[in-house]
Amino acid sequence: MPAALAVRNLVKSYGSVRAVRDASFEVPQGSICGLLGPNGSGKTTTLACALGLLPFDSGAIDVLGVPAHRIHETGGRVAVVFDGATLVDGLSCRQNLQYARRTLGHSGGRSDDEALQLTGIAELAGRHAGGLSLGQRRRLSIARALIGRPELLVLDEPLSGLDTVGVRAMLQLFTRLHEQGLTLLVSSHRLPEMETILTRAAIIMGGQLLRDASLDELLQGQRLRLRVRAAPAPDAVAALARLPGVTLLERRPDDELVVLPGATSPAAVNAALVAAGCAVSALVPERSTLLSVFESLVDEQRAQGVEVPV
Amino acid sequence: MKGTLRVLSAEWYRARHSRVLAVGAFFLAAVAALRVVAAWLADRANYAAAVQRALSQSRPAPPPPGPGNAWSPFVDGWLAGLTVATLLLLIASARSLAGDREAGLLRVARTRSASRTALVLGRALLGILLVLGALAVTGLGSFAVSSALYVFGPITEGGFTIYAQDELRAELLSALLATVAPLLATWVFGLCISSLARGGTGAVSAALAIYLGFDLFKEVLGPRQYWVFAAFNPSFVDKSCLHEMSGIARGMSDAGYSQALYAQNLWLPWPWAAGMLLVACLVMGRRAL
Repeated sequence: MPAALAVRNLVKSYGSVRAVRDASFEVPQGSICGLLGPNGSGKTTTLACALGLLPFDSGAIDVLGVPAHRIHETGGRVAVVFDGATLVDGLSCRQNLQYARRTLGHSGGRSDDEALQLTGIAELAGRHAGGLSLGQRRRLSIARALIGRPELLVLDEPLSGLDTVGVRAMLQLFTRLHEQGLTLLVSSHRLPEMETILTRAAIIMGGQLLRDASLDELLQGQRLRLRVRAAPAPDAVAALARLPGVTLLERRPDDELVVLPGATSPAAVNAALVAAGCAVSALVPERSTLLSVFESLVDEQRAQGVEVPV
Repeated sequence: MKGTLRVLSAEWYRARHSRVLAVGAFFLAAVAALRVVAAWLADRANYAAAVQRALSQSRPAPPPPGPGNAWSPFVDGWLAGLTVATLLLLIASARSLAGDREAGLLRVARTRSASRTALVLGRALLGILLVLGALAVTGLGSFAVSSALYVFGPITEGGFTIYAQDELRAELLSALLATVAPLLATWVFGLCISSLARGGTGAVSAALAIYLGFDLFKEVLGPRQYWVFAAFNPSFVDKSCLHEMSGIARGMSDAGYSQALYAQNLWLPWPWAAGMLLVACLVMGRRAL
């Protein structure tokens, strides 16, 4: 089955600044794919290129089998929810959908009422968009994207600015849409939340795509990390340095040490610390999460001298 | 072409439902009507002054004037409405692409079904509807009040008919015909500026500055000003064909464009509009949305 979105060797520069460097990734049909990375990593630029909104220097992008610059030829099968206010404030919620439907050019597919109901704002149909809260505006943007027959839904930072309840509701909505057969591409820097719904992730940093794999593959490939508390800390650091294959990643201000044990088992690390006369108060193997995968990648990048914004 | 029509349909829907159109139409009709009322009040004030003068000189007061001929206030009212309409159209078109780009609406339309060219052409076609609408509401506003306060009849002087009603209608029709093309070119000029600007406010400011700047300084260009489409628009420093029609409605025999200038008025705005539309399409074809 061809990918819903295929980006191959994308390069995009702003003057002398290279915003995206040779990025390649795919969004398989039926997946919830995350385009993840810190602020300024090139996510929005990549999306803008992929959606035909921004010319790029080189590479090739296909959206549902159509080149990105001809995305309008997909006939509304691609729908996008952009970060920020992209509504007509002077129109009501229902009128905003009608406005979008006229651009779409057909009245088939999901109706306005269905879209409003699905996003939980049916009771706001007559309210002016200008008077809605951030969360309600986000839902209306999604409702607008859902009218017609979209197959690929692209969301740019859909969780930004939402409170905990709003985030939870939004994630539930994405899962529901996925269950209805929609392919989703979600750009976000909220890794813990995204991990609960994603089936696949592409991680981008400093304009470079570092990983593109299914979530299972990403988490399996992640090396175990240990959080160690041992006193005196300088002796613990020295003991860890003597262990072959063990890397000290970070010494936090509260003297907590973050360690990559490599082939050494946690028990061996503990034994070495005790043998060095350290009082070990905590040795916690960290569960592999999207966040830990991401942190490892940040560490790798920093180790290679790449500047990663915090 | 389908994409262009879809954009036109969407923009027309937005205009109709966002109250801007209704408020704008009412405002333009009111401007035209108020211009007629102002002329009528000025006539009454002149008569009152004449009565006061006569009484102060112990002469009998002059008889009250008749209702007067409606043609002159009617054309002046229409002209006033269209002068304001030109500026409103310019503001609306200048805000159009730049404002929607700023608000992210162009991105939404682009990704769902509209090509970049369609986004421009659909808005250009909307201009035709708005220009015709502006002509209609200003004309109706002026006509309604003119008919209530004055009487339409031939222009006469000393019992001699200078212009019969049929002639006046024909002249007015010609003048209106000459007004359509420059107004459309003005709309496209706004779109062109809009395509180049970074934001809606900047686009409106730039468009108004250029347009009003030309209006103020066009006199310096002499006859060469008529090589710019804006010279044919109803404006504050008015050189339009409709302004000449106002002279005709006052019975001035030397009023009216020469045949050559009238012909230039009819054709010149079209290449301007086409050129500016091309620029807008080319710019929007390359810009980040």
